[in-house]
Amino acid sequence: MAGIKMLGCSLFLFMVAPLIAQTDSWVAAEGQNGELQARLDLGILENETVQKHLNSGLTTTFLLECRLGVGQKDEETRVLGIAIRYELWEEVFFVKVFNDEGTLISEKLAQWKGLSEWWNGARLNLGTGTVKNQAFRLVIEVFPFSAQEREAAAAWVSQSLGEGATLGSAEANDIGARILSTIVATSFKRRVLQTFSYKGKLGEGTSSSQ
Amino acid sequence: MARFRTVLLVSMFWQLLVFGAIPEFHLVAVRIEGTQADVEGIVISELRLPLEKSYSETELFRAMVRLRRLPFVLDAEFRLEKGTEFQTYILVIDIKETKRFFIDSEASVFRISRYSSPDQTEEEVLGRNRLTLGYRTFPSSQSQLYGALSPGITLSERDQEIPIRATGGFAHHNLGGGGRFFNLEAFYSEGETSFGSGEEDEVDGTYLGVDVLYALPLRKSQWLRFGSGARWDETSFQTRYIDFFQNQTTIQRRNNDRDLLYFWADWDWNTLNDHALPTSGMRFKPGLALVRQRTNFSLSQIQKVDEESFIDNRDAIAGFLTYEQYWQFLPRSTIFLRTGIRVARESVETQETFLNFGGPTAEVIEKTEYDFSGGLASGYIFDIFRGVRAEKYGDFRLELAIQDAVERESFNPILGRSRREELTSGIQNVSANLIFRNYWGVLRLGVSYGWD
Repeated sequence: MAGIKMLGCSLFLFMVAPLIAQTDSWVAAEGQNGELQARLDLGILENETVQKHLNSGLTTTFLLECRLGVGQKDEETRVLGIAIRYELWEEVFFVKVFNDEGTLISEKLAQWKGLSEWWNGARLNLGTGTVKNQAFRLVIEVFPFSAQEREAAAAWVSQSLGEGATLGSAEANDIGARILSTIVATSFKRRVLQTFSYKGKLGEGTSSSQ
Repeated sequence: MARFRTVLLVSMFWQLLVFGAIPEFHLVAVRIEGTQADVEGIVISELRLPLEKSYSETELFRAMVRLRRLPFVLDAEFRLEKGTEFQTYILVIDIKETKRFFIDSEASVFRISRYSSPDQTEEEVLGRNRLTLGYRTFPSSQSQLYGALSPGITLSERDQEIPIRATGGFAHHNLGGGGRFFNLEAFYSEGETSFGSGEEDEVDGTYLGVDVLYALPLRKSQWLRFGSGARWDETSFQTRYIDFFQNQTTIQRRNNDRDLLYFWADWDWNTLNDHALPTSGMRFKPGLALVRQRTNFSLSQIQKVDEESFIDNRDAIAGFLTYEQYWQFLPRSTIFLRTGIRVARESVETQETFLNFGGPTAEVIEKTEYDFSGGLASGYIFDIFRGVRAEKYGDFRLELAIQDAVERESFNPILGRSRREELTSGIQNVSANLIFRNYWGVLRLGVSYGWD
């Protein structure tokens, strides 16, 4: 019985392992010009928080930052953005891939299936002129379009409060400042950005963390 | 990353503008979830989005920001649902209300090593446990009333202090319009300290204080803040001496009455990403303070006629400056630097009176003193929880720090050295703190080791 379970587990892992490998993001130098391409991890799209934002009908933004030659003198950074919005009435996802020069890709994808297929097959161009086997670190940050406004909201109250009284006074009144500080600290739910990071060498396997 | 993010966001805005792709949503209804009925009216009013009109995402997000500024709103999330007709939408707002109760708790142990003589060091262990339990209520959409009770125990090898403190306050988040912040807070503290030595020294004190803060927003991330405060405290010490020769007990009583009044103003430039647990940004605060302190000491020995009194009046002007900076170099890792200095010029007038059989004798001394204190701390922060776990359970971090503080009293910056004794003390310490914060409160657990 134990042997059957072991066999079952092994078969399951054997079947699932390639899927896991496929969903990892990687960066590779390909083509004659050594174009640097990033592939996206399907796990990002399937993340519960990310899905919630994607289905809200409002824009969700993904920012990719790829650092090449990490720790070396000639370290360089390539960046890219993806904006996705679900249109409720048309039941389509609008996708825009952009960098600081403009929009690179503009897509209209039917429902979730279309989006996940596009995501899985996307090869995003991060520029050219790279060296094979160079170490890279890819960080993908996900946030609703409102991220900046949200931070501003948190700062609005944070900045107005604080330990002013303690600084002005020769008598430090730490408990009083602490109460006010606690009131502020418990008045905002800190929304942590979803960040996914991957590292490896160009054209090789990657390790990921969230 | 922040620079690239800005570039990309600006780029995206430009893209959307040029290609006319800014989506607009025609709102036909608003549905609020997660709140009690009595605050729905305030939420709708603060939303400022009349129905049957179209709004861009930016307008919706601005409305979300307005809601998040309400003190009773912990978080607000927006999502759209299909409306009754084609291309119309229902705005669904999921509100999470701020918890009425809040907790602040601290447990720390501090071991200090002091050089008592060139070849000898003394070690002392200090402990501090404090728990603050508070409750808040929201009389209007922009204000909150709060109260807190803080029983605490401070322990050292020599003495034990059990003060209790009650605090009440009122905060208004938009007093006078324009996002001006006002806070009025009063507290009362009463405590007893008993020394564990054979002299049976006992201390009993009461402490009353009021603080006012008014902050004016100047620009984004910059505030001009004004504050004032007063303290009244009365402390009495009682020591028993046993005179073996006369075979009687003498009780010495010392009373210390102090009034303190101060005004301060500072310019607060704050780009920290979080008030309590920042991981990026900086805060720079230069300011000025005026302090007036009147202290009256009296010493009496019961069963003897001896009595002395001592008056200490101080008027001080102080300049202070603090700077802190946080750099997040990996998703979980942050390093920080905090520094601050305070320089004060004090006009001191002391009057010492002796009451003896020969009648009262008094001595008055007037002098100017300069005090300086400064500190520098740097350290490393590791976020134990992050991502989904942090959002679900709260922030949990480890903070390691090394700090150096120096204090100089009665030095004269012009002459270089005071004619009177110059006191310089410095202390260095390393510390490790575990800090947990969620919407119920903040918990701290720390150990530190100091030496001078």
